[in-house]
Amino acid sequence: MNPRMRLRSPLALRSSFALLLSTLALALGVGQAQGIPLEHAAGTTELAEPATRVVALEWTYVEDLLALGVQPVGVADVAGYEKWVNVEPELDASVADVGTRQEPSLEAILALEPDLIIGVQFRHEAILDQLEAIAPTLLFNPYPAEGGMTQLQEMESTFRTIALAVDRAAEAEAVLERVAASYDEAREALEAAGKVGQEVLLVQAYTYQNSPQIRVFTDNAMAVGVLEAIGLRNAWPGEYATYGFDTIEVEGLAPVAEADAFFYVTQQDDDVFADTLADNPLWRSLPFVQQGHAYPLGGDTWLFGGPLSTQLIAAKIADLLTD
Amino acid sequence: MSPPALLSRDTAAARAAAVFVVGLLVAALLALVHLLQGQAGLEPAEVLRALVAPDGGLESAIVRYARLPRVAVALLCGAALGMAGALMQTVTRNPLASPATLGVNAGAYLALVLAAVISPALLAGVGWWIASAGGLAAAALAYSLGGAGRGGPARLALAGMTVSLALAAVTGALQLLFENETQGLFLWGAGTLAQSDWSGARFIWPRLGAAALLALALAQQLDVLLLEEDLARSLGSRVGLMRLLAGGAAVLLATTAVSVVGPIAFVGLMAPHLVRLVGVRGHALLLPGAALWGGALLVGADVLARAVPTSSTPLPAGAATAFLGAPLIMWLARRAGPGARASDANGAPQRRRLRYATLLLVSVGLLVAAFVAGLALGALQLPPGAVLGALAGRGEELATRVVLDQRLPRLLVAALSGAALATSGLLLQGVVRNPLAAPEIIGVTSGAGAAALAALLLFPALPIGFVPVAAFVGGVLVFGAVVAVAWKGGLDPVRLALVGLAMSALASAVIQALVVTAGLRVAQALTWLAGSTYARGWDDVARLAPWVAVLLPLAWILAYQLDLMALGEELPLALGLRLERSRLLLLGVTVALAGAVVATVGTLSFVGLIAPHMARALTRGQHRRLLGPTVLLGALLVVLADTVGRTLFAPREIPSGLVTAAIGAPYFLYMLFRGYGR
Repeated sequence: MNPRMRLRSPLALRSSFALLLSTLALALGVGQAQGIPLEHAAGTTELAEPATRVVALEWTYVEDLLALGVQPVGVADVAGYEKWVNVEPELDASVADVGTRQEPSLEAILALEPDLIIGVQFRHEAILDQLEAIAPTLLFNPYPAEGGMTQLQEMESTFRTIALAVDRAAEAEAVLERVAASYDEAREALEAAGKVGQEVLLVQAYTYQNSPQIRVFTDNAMAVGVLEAIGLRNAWPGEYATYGFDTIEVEGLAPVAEADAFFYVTQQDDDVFADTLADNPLWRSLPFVQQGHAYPLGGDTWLFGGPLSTQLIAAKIADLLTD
Repeated sequence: MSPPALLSRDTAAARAAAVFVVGLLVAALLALVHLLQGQAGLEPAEVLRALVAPDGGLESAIVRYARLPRVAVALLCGAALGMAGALMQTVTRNPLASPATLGVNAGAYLALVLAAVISPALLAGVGWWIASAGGLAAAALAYSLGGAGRGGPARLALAGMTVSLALAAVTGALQLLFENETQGLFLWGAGTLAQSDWSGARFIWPRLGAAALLALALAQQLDVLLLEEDLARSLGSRVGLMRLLAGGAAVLLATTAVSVVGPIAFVGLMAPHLVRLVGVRGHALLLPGAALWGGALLVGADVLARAVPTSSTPLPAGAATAFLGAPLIMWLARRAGPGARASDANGAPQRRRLRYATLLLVSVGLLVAAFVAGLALGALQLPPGAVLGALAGRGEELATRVVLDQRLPRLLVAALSGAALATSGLLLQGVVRNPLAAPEIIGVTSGAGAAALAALLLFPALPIGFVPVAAFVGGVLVFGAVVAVAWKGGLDPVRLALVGLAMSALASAVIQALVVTAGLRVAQALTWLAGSTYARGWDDVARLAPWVAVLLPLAWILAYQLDLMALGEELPLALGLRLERSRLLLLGVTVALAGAVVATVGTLSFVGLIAPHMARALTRGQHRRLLGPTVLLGALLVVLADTVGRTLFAPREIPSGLVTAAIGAPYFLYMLFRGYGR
């Protein structure tokens, strides 16, 4: 029984009656189990017992669950996850698709009889009531406001909260230690190659009306947090942007043309730098291009992911710089 | 439009000189400011050096391959749109004609998307031809629906806007159904000028040059077109051929610009008017003048757009042109005085009709059937027995929760919204005396959206649940502004529609600007307002139901006044109807209904437009008689849309606003062809 169900129908009334009984039982100390209080962006939620049937409505939290060895019962936009997020272990074939991330099918979620739903505040705040009527719901905000946590800190804290919810706290620490170790490894490799302290750019790019649009990551971005953890520095002067990137055109790269290296993520069918701009005089006159220091990270490197994604980013960047 | 003004030679020459000298100065100045703007943060001296003495360095490359092409494309496309606007205004003899108001943008876009679905290879090879054909077809459609030159300015503007809406709805449905095929075009819709080399400019200039030469060669003949048609004919002018050639040149100019920079509205409308303001009438001067000022306007809009500080994506130039152009339409609308008589609202095709009682019974039956189907279908298919069990409170728990907690409230919200929008549309079409009127055009919808976003931005502490309240207040306020601007000793229906159109464009530009300047919560508010019955629950039913319960009976009480208004301006007065008061009262009901719906489910397009038409196609008579079928058909439409949207690609949901548009747009176009296209 969901302890936070709202009144919304005769049925809900009946279930609230059941809730009343169970609250009464709780107050009387009958069968009192230790609850798990979980802090998240939409408040504090208390689980009576660890969750086993989890529905994840955002890919980052799918990745978090997989890293903890938990297969969710339902995921929003399975096909999209498989296209954009490249981590091991993979999603089980049995995991149900519950629709789009923005408007997941409430019926499909309800049919899975989950005991926990994990969503993201900027998409799911407006349907929080409906989700909570189905199961206890955690909403996280991966884009903390200026002056708060960085995105990397938020990612780790969310990862730990999810681990608590599924009773895998020890596994979470083990994963985070492995991630830290992989950062150290990457840093040592860079140190050996004399690349520590280099100023680099990290971007995503796509074509918008025949013209390349470039997202340059700012200091608060998760992926930039990874860069710093392996001993590199962000060449882009932007300290904070809501989503962690500024959007610029090619000429916007001019002020940072002296960067030591340029890492980019593009999709294969829209490879802005290798195809569209290959013969572009402006692009070719950028020093890091002339020196051959523009590197593709691959289309399925997810720059907004969880611990496994960050591990991948660290390893790829270190490899590219030390080759 | 007045014939060429008879000015003394000297005055005319002085004015022409002023148009060109001032125009060149303004364009040059704006172009210079434009060149100094940019993300590289170059010093003016560096830019000048790169212009005068380019070296192989980075600064020179930026100026030569990013900034110069951008300003060149802005000048070329602005000039093309300005000249196209002037040609269209002459050919249609209508001061409100322009590429955007004739639906050229929407037509070109739909053609491109359609080509991408059929074969992506088409786009690479003959994309420009396809876009041009689409733009031409849309313009021809809007022109014929608008009365083919005899329907008056407002009717043409409304027809163009309706055609644009319908085509955009079809485009949206195609994009949703063929997501992978149309991905590359998905972002085309906003109109930006970013360039990274000369390929765009190289592509357009020969085409624009050819079309412009054709237009200039016709200039003398076009002057004759401004005369009365009979007079023109007697002077030996081949009117039909001239119109065809000039119209073709106009569409060629417009679609070429649109195919490179996307839809940019208002430049084509404004530029010719600016030139005419100083008294230039002859086409030999009007066409180049409109081109020059069009170029200056678009460069100016881009300067303005780039001066707005945004957090991530730059503001598209298309939004900036709306800020400049919308006030102009309002001014034109006020200046025009009482417009041409609007057309008869009961002009729908007359066919065999059902008996009224049968019609009502069948409609109720269909609505009930749709409800049952809606309760049974979705991500989970429930057998009818399970649905009935759930309704009776004896079903198994899962079925009961799906039916009672989720499907029933959604369907009720859908039915209430459909009924309210349909009523709103019926009243509005009656007041404005135009069958193309819908709540979308009086500014309620976009006003609601803009207000909701602005509230979230200005008061960050506001809970997201406040969005509907802000939306309702915004819709009413914007409508109040429309009435205030349109009021000139009375409320002329044509003027009201025009000001509403302009205000809608303005509010849409505000929305666009807010979206690019703001952060996270705005995206959420936008989805919430995007026209969806998704996740609506019992609290939404409780919020919407009282409005409908009070306003529908009120609409029925007031409906007889619409029958009087249909008689024209004088007769109702003679019959004792206080015309302005009745109009305001009816409009108040219209806005309250539409506002309540927008606040609950966002924009469900085409319901308010087509439900009254469907009712008229099935029965005829006074407005009170039409109200019943209109309400039932509106409810039916949205209930079906909700069910289809939940079921077709389950568990993926299609927003019901898109489904209503996909059902409504083709029906509407078909109906227009049957009824008005002749």
